[in-house]
Amino acid sequence: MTSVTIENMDLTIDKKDILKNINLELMSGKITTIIGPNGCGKSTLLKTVSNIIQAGEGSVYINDLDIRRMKSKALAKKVAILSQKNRLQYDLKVRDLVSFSRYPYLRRFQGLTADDHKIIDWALRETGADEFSGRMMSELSGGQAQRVWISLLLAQGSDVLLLDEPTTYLDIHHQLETLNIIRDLNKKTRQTVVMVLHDINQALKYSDEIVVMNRGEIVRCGTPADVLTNDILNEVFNINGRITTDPVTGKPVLSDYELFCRTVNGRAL
Amino acid sequence: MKDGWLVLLLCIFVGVSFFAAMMFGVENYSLGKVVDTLSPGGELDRAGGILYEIRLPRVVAAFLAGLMISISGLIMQTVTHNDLSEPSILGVNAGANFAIVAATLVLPVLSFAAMLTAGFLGGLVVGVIILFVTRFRSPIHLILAGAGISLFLYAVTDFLVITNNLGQYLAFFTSGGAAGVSLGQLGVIAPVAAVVIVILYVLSKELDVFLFGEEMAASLGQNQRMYQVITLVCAVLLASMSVAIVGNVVFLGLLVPHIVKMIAGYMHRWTILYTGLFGGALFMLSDMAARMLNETPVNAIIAMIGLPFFIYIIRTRGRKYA
Repeated sequence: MTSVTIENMDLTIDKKDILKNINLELMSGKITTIIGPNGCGKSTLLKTVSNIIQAGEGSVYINDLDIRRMKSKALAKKVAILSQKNRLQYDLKVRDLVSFSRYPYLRRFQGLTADDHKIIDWALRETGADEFSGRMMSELSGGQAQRVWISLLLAQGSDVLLLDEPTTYLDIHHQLETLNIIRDLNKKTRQTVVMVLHDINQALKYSDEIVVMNRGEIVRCGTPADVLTNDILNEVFNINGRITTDPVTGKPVLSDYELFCRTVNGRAL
Repeated sequence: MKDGWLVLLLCIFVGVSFFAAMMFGVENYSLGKVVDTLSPGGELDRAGGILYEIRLPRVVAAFLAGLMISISGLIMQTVTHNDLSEPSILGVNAGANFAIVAATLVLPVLSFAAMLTAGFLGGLVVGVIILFVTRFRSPIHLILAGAGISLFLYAVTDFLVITNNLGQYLAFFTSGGAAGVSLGQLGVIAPVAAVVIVILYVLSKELDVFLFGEEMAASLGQNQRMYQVITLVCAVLLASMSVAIVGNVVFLGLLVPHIVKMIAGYMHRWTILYTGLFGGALFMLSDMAARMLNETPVNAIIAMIGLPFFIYIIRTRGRKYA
């Protein structure tokens, strides 16, 4: 089990506060989803946990170790991130792409070992990407490409997986397919998953815990039932919703929603 | 399997280009004569003397320069995440050119090694300035900044050359060409180039990871800044050494890596080799054509092949930068 703790984190870029006093302990082995309006700092928070962006103040601890004191390859073995815009500038064969996940484990002149190949094969099988592992990335549909990227994340062998909007650009079928893969894997491997989602119902359905962010701050953090209140929806998203309980799953759902007050470009009329 | 064939094919191409470049020029010689002169104990009559003393250094210089420019372009494209990077666009050639001319003015009896050092420093300073100004951002910034600084430096260089009557001596720098290189100079450059290329080979895995873009590379745990600095210094070193022997050669550093990547993919353990061999052979042939066409500047020959290709690249791959 790997614990991830964020303590007193502040981040200012160009005199703008991007993150303000973030304190968060991620539930290890569970799925946590961060929701919030555009520009609230969700993606930035993920990037600070993987040290792609360095926090101004405060720290991230992985197993009580400050990530700024970890070697970059050691951190990569603990935390893997799937960026929102993971488009390739160059075309690669699917399997060749996924083999790059083993980079943190390789020494200078070392090639992939039999174990590495085993892990890559497993990761491709888990997402069903093994069907097209010999094809080029440019030949794949959006849903297929996303499965390859998740395989890459899996093969990196990290305990903590960060997914920045894994469903963006996918149609509804492939959104659910991707989220199901993530949930099933989480049950099987007990990796800690943190994702950013825009669809509130998907966040409710797939998460053990939801973190609501607004203007760089954490507004609320808790189980889906705790978080989904009209106060939160008003305050954070400026919408009003009809919150009901799904008769089959017994979980809360947002069955309809409307703007809280009429706005144009976010400004009240 | 495919890679093995490509290596064989390229080696044959290099061999054929070498002998063709040795045979044809202002005066033409038979293949037999060339082989005879180059084989141990070959007699050095007048023709043999020309072949051995003048043409051989020139052909070898062309091969080395083509190899260095092309590999330099390949590395710059990878490291700056930019399909349009190459030494002359990044201003490295202009910087090296300017530094060599300026150094020659200050110390007229400059040794070749000192000239190389001046060129390297000039290229490095300009390359660093351009990358600092654009901060690796958009390709458009890079091209604009590079073109601007290049134009400025060429203007200053021209001014220095004209006011000091260095025209005859330095004319070849701006037009490009492998004339007048000695085997001794190549003896200085070849070992340095070999060391640099070995370093790049050692780092080929790191270069591959660059292909993913900054965020993915960071997520895989790569210490990017360090490798960016090392590989770019290597690329600048190769480019400025080529400027020292053949002047500012344009397009080649763009053309060759792109052709190679279209055919052979992107993995650097192969592309470095292919790019070097293909670039070397292509430049030997261009230099041969220049000799046959009354010493036309070799840049003109390369531009004739390069320009249509440049437009093709902008039209197909440039689109995503818009």
